[in-house]
Formats: sequence, structure tokens, C-alpha cells
Amino acid sequence: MSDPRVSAGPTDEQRRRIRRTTLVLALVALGIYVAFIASGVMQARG
Amino acid sequence: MSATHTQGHAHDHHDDHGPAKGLKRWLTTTNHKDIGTMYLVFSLLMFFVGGGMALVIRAELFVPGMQLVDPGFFNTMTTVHALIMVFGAVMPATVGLANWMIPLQIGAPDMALPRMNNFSFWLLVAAFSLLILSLFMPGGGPAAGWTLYPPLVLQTGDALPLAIFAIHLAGASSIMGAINIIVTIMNLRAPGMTLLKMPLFVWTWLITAYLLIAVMPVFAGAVTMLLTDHFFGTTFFAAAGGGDPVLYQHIFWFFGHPEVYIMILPAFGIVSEIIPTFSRKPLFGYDAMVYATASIAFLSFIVWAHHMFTVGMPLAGQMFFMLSTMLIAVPTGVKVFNWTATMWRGSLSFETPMLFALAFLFLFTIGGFSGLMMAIAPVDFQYHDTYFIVAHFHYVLVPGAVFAIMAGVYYWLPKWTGHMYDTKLANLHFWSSAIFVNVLFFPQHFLGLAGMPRRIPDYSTQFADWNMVSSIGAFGFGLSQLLFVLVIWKCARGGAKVSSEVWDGARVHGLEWSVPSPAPYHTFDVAPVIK
Repeated sequence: MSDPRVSAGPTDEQRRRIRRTTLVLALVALGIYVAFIASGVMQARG
Repeated sequence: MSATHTQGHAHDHHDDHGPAKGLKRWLTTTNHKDIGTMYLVFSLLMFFVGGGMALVIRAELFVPGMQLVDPGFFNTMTTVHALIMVFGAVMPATVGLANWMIPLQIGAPDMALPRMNNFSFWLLVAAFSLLILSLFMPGGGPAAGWTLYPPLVLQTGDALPLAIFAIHLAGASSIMGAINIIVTIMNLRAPGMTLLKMPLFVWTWLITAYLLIAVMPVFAGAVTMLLTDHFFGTTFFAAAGGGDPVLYQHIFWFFGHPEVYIMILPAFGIVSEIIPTFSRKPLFGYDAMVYATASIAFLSFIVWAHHMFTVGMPLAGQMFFMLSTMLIAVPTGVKVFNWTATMWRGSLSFETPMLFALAFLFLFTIGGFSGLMMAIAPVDFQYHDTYFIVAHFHYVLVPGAVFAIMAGVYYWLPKWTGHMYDTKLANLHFWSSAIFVNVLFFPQHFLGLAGMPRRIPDYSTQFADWNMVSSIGAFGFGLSQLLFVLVIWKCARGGAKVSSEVWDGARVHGLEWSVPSPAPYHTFDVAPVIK
């Protein structure tokens, strides 16, 4: 560890899973945001 | 949880290097304990800012007639008080507790995404700096209520884009915080800690984090559409252009009702930690508590239109939303039953955290019952937009969520500081808070039933007496909170040393009681093994 104030991190496998889960959750949040605006657009168009 | 750990902690194996010194520590820290502390201090500050606004409201309502502020500023106070209390005080307080306690409770060295953790916190500071600055914009601050209903909110002056930007930043901060919590719980649990061995606080936060990811983007979408309606000529919510103002209400409450559970589920988790410790028994019906929490979260998505009975909807819609809302009483009842059953024949003691947890149990239930009353559509037509509603949601959020947060702080504070706090002062804080919170909010039930509308700066003289009582309660409650600051301040500076277990028999209730007090800067560098 280069920085002594940083604790031992997760293993490589854990890091991969962390990256994957983060990406999926971020995409879900973004998707919901876009979907609700899109539903507003469709509603406004009648 | 009866888990035990068999391995030592990394602080036994590594030198426990402390944090960086000075301001840099707080600006750049990625340590979950530092960030938890910053969230908690920030939320306490916001609690006093929002509380100050509440006192402006109650001072104006002390007697009938206009005394202190003009009606526009009064509306700004009601709006910004709510926004600050919901997004700046209660939510960050529970996030602060999550940051401190989740890694300690699951045996993880830190949160999974420590840099994003730091970014989430400072984004929140930026958000509330902007929101508070919006009070000083030409035309005054946001004044349309925390629900920001169009078309009224579109009459806001220059504060509107600032407030909406602040909401976006706070929302982004919440989403990042939620992602961090889910990723941490799902990936960094100690070996052997299966999902159904996790402490209830971790469970309630896991479910809350999923709720946050599901609904914060909905609110962000709604306010983005408000922004484009105001500045870019769209008509999402303007009937003149083919839009529908009621659409906003549907979208807002699709976010707004789960938001209530975002504030209260972590409170359930805290109380589920405290009651077993001071009953010296395991939690009664652990599995049922988990399933009840998940059921409440699911049901929170299908009840939103109970906020809109008076807007008008088909009878079938009223029936659906009435019955689905009442259904929430079932899992909530399971929880109240299980907390009570945990205490049944327990070896009870009444330290400050337990006092706050018990007050939560009684007073949150009052708020829950008045909620059931309003779930009945024809009855809601009478109560809607009256002080009865104000009494209801304040019972849920103040002696509900806020008392549970205070219980959590009193429960874990010795673990954080290594000192026992001044228990006499803490008990005085409890009793003064418990008495004044009822003096403050209970009369508002009477005012609402008598027909006093909410969000008004002046009122008919028939409402004078109970308003005066309520305002006295408000000032008493506000002053009582200075005791809270005093207790924490004294405890942070010193006091009797505590053991790692802190509370008699607490060790069997969670991993956090197995690390020394104060908790070292780094914990669980080597994961404990749960049997």
C-alpha cells in the first residue's frame, strides 16, 4: 500500500463485482430518469 | 444476530495510522468514519437551520394577525423548512449513521466506493448552500411548498432555477450514496454473513437504498420538466399548451410517498438494534422483520395517489389507493408487535437510547394511526390540507424518524468517541424533547379537525388557544435540542472511558461491539469470520 492511511482494499474479484454492480445501478437510475421525462413528453403530445 | 467473529482485526496487524491533519482531512477523506461524522454534523447543522425556520413559522402563528413576517416570506419559510428537514437533516443523518455503522456491522474495512462517498457528501454541501442562497434571490426564495406544484411554483422568481439545481445536486448525492451502500452490502460482507444474518439496520438501509435509486430519478425528472416548462417553452404541466398539472402531482407523489419510507425505514432499523440490546433478548421474529420491511417498501410504490384524493379520480382509483394504503398497516403492525414481543419478559433497562426508542414506538404509532384515518378517502376530504395532516406527518417524522436518529446517536456515540456521555443531561434532553414534542404537535390534531388550513400565516381567532400552546411547545422543543449539542460536545471532548462492548451484553447483537472504543480509524482490514 502506497498510502498508509488507506486500509486494505477489496480483492480483484470483489473490485470487478463492485464495478459491475455500480454500473448497473447507475444505469438503472439514469434509465428511470429518462423514462419519466419520456413519459411526460408522450403525455404532453397527447 | 448471534454472530461471532474468530479472527482479529487489522489494527492488530498494521500500525493504525491516524487521519491526515487539519482541514485537508475533512476535505479529502475517504474514510467511512470521517464521512459518517461529516454527514452527522452537517445534518445537525441543517436541523438547526430548518428548526430556526420552524420557529419563525410558530412565532408568526403564536397569536392571530400578522406580526413578524410578510405572507410571502412565511410561505418561503414553510417551503424551505420542509426541503431542508427532509433532504438536509433527516436523510443525511441516516446516511451518516449508515456510513459509520454499516461497514462496522458487516465486518468491512470501509465503504466499497470511498472516493464517491466523499464526493456524495460535498455535493450535498453544495446543494444546500445553493438552496439557502436562493432565499436571497430577487423575488424571494421558493414559496410554493416542498411539493413544488405547478403552476404556482412557476411564479417563483430567480430562486427557481437555483432551487431546482440544488435539488438535482442533492438527488445525485443521494443516488451515489445509495449505490455505495448497496455495493458495499452486497460485496463486502464478512465471510459467513449471509443476508439473513445481517443486522436489521443493515437490512433496512439496503432496502432504503433500492428505494432511493428507484425514486430519486423520478423526482429529478419532474423538476427537470418544471425547469423546461419555465425556461424552454415546453408545456408538460401547462394545460394551455396541452399539458397536465395533475401529471406533476402523480409523478411527485410517486417519488414522495416512498420518500417517507426512505426516512422511516432506517429509523426502524435503529430501533430494531436498540430494543434487543436493552431487553437483553434477541430480536423477536427477525425474518418477519426483514419481510415486513421489504413489504412496506413494495407497498410504498402503489399508494401514491392517497395524497391526491381531493384532486379527483374515479371511484375504483379511490378504492384501490385507499385499500393499498391500509394494507401498509399490516407489515407495520408486524414490526410494532415484534418490538413489543422483544421486550416481553426481557430484562429491561432504560438508558437514554432505549428511552428514545420507546418514545419512537409510542409516538410513531400515533402518527401511523392518524395516517390510517386519512387513508379513508371520504374522511380525507375533510382533513385534506388542514393542520391534521401537519400533525400526522410531524408525528411520523419528528418523534418517529428524528427520535430514532437521536436514539441511534446515543446508542453508538460511546463507540465513536470512546467516552460515555453525561447520562443525566441526555435523559433531561429526552424528557424535555418528549414532553415538548407532544405540546407542539398534538394540539395540531385539534386545530385540523376544527378546520384550520395548513400553510397560512394568519387564522381565525377560534384557533388562537391551541396555536399558542403549539408555539410554546415549538420553542420548548427547539431549546431542548441545545442539550443534545451539549451532550455530544461534552462526550467528544472527554468523559468516562467505555469498554468495547459499551452496553451490557451488546456484543452478541453485532460486530460493531467487538472493536475497541473508540473505533480505530481502520477496522476489519482482515475480515472477521461469522459462524
